[in-house]
Amino acid sequence: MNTAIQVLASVLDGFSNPPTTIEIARATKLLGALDAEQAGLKPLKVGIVSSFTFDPLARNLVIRGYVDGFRIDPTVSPFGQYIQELVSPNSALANSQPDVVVVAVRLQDSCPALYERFNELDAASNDAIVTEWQENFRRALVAFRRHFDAPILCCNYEQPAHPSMGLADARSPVSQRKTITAMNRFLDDLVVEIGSFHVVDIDNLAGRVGRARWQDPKLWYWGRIPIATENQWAYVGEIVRVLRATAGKARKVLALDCDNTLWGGVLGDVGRDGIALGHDYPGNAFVALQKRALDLYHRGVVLVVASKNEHSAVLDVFENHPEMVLRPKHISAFAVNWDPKPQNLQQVAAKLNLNLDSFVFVDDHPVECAMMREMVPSVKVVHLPQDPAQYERTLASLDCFDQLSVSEEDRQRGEMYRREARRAEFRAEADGLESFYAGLNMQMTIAVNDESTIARVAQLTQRTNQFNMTTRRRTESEILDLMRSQGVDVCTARLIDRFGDNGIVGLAIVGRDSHDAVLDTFLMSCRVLGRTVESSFLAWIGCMLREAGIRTLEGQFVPTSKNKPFADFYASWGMSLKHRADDGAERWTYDLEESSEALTIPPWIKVETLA
Amino acid sequence: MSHENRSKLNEIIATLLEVEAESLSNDCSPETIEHWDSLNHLNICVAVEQEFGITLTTDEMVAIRNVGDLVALLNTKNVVCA
Repeated sequence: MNTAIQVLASVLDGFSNPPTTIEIARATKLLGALDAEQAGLKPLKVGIVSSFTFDPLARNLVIRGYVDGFRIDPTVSPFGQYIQELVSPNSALANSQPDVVVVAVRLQDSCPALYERFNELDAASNDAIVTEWQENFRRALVAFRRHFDAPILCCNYEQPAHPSMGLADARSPVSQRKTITAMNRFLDDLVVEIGSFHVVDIDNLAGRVGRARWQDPKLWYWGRIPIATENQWAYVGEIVRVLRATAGKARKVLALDCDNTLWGGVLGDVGRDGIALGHDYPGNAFVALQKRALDLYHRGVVLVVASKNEHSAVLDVFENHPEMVLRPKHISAFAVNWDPKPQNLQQVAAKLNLNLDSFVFVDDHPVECAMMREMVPSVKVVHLPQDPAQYERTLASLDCFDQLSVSEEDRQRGEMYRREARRAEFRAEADGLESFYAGLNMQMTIAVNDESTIARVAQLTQRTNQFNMTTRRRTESEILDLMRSQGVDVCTARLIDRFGDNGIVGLAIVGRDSHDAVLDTFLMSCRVLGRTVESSFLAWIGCMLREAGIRTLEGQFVPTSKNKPFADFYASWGMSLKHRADDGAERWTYDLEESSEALTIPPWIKVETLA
Repeated sequence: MSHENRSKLNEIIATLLEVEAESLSNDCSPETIEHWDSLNHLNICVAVEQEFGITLTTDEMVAIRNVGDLVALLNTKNVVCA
């Protein structure tokens, strides 16, 4: 481990929860001197427009960023000038050329009447205030978007701790709570209207920590800081949570221990009928944990079982215990044996074609947790608290699985990985590779510039790390622009096989002029690698370009820590290396006029092109 | 005890204001220390509350004009700083 990473880890590990003012100040000094690249941090310029004193939060934000691998460089615009800051192309915000913009404008500041004298408002005046703010804010965002495509993270509006009308708010014709809910829905809807616009759910956070202690009046009256010191760390945590999802850093796999995690007791000692699982404590606490895990499964989190036990005994519980919520069909891999768990997870990762840094490991045993941390630091380890009653809450509070949106592909992911495991078995049975391929009945459906695929395409660019030749992340609005640009083809490949529909698994973004084409992006979901899908997809692209009269196809490769295993793909496909830059970036080329052997699609893949 | 509290207080102020703890005296104030602005004044008060486990009222916070005032205030809260 290099020193920069060690310094980072030692500073962050020593924090209280939440960190004290002094800890933040010390960390600011220590971490500010770190070499971002050495520490593996992603530099990020964050422009902040707010309606209050944001500086203490900005300090917290920088430190919180380190926890998730960002080196945040904040620029806080003068407070109160939020509209001008967004609209003017010469504002402090605009001049800072931010990578990301945070809008922290409280409704208490922009529409004070809604909080301070709500009971004076009738329906018409309430409507007028709401509409005016919505129009002003929308106009400011649209104006900003004309000049910048930086993602906007917008904090939403918190409900008052005490509604003005008291109990009667629910029946009042002009309800304060409903008005603020409607304002928040307005922000949610802007997600569609303004590209790359994301809501930071501050209202939910305020509710979670408690509205009554959300603010510290001392800080507010004296410093115009509307968030109590103890809540500032959580506030910036919500911002970083969205940043992380925007950067595609979501984890994908939940690996669960069995004894005293999925059920109470040690299966080997008490037997299937002796484990705690059912309607009363402690069994209900374990049922609750399983229900939460199943809910994550339906959101696209892949479930894995990692237990030191007899394989057959664990499978017997999953199949036959009447109170089990999780069944074998929900589990993509059972790593149940007496081998060390780190080794088991490494094997599972290889089998599922997933990186260990997308794994979360949950166990009640301190030694298992310590061992995992030590042996595979990239795995996020969750050591369950001593009391099973706290288990479900612990799992529910994890935000490392967060994605900006959940697609149909995500919802089917667990099922897809289970099929992947079955394919692996099938592969072992098939005698030759070609007969294995043929037996898969693969059908690839290719679409070009199909706008219905935008969300999935953006997601693929954000989340694919391994088989991704250039790792260029793109937002939905960028993809839309590309699809509508002259000379750019955004090609997607969907794969269906005998085990089911894999969804859109491949993406190529091809730019071309009259003679030459460049593969700006070429990526493939790791699930389907090793079945000639990637080479066939590129062959199809080559054919399409040749028919359009293009003479050369250039493939670009930008090395990252994740895509190295696939560095030789262009060579194996038939391209020749044209140039290698000092930073390792490569340009490969294929002569479409002279050569053709790489352009053949093997007989075991049927290709269909959508018009 | 009083000596320990005093060095802890100096340490807090020094960390937040980016000065040497040894250079701090009771006369040090926003006029003599560059980084002692209103935001850091608030930070010092919050940090003092956190580190000594006490609570300051808003009036008490506003009334602090220099390090000596802070020491006197802590003395009234049973945090004896010589």
